[in-house]
Amino acid sequence: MGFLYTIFAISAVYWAKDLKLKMNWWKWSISAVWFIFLSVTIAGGFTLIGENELRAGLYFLGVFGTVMIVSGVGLIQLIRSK
Amino acid sequence: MRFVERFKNQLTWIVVTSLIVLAVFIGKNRSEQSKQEIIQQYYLESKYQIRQVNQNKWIIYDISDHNENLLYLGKAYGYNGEVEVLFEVDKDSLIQKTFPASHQETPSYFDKIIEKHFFEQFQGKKVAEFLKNKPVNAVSGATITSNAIIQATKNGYAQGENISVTETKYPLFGMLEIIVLYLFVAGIVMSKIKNQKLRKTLRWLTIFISLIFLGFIYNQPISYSRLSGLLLGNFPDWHKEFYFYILFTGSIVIIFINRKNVYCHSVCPFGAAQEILAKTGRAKVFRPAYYKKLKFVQRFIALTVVLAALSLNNPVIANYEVFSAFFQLTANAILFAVLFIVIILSLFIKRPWCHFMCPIDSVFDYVKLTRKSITGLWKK
Repeated sequence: MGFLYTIFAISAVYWAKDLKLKMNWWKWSISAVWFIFLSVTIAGGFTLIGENELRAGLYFLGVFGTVMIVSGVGLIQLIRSK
Repeated sequence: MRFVERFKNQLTWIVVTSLIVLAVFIGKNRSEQSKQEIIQQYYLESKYQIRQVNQNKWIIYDISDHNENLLYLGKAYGYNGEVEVLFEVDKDSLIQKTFPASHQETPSYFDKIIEKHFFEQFQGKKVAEFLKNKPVNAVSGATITSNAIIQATKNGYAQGENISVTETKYPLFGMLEIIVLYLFVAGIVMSKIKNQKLRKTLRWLTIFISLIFLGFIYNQPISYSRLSGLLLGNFPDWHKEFYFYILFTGSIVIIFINRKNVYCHSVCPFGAAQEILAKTGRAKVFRPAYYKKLKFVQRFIALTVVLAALSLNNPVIANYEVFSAFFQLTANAILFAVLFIVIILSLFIKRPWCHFMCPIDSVFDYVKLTRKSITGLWKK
């Protein structure tokens, strides 16, 4: 998992360059925080499902997943801004 | 051409109004379960001997343990309509069992009451205590339903024993009423302000106040099931819920005066939520070539649902909005799925729920049509 995260972090730099995004330190920081929260949401939701708490897991994924999608769209708009 | 359009409007209004009146007539004449039938659901004839004392009181004799208790049936108005409660009281005037005899509340809210073991709180309480105060705690997130059950218990006992009860006086004007009035005034003022910056500031202030207070804190947008309940004669207690009358009559009066739908534009908390989502995703106005067809589908569904709710005398049928799913996370799986789709769409399309799905939008379209039909009568 750590290996995958490292690849993702390095790729993100090239991805931003390809998309010609003007990244700075605070844009990277917010993106990193968002990515951590996304990981926690996925991990938390599926852990609950794995622990036979299907309803709680679906609630968790539904609520926080939606929040992550909405904040993700907001983040894209923010990153694209000059 | 104008005459043809006016005629079409008036014909539509007559057809829709006639259908609604007919549905109310059918609904009000539906045979309901008798009190005796309700009691026999919980107390089988083979195990109990039941003797009626008056309209709200019965004596039940348990054949197996030769025990005699009293049974009361009371009703009160909840969120959508009537809530009936049946309860058994022993010789020491202590409540032994409480049953939800019948109700017209939204199932997800009533499920909360059951899940939180609300009825079990009644056990062992002195029934006379209900006349003076509230000896049980309301369930958070289902307060109106909880209070209706408490009130039904009080009414059942008071009517069964022929006790006249002085009702608790609630303040007519509270925080919620002030917020609703502010939202209406702000909505009207906004349409008159020419300064763009000031209008924008007021608009965002209104959006956040509506979302936080009317949405998340009080969760009291106008709901379709409540409007259906109103048509069936279930009027909320105006002392307890004066805000509802301000919301409802305010919205209609403003449409009649200046043709503007202020409720949907400035007061509705879910509309406010969609505005924030639209800003987040820089959403665009969606006006496809088939826009009119989509509007027709929205209105057709709203009309069909309300006719079903009215003719079956069950306002719960009309409860297909996503408000409680969004503000209280209380709804069934289908509504949660619809809410998810609406949230995602709101990021790219301006107010998809309001424009293509909300039944309240259709209600105000009907009010506008009523206005047009009335004003059209004295136009040449």
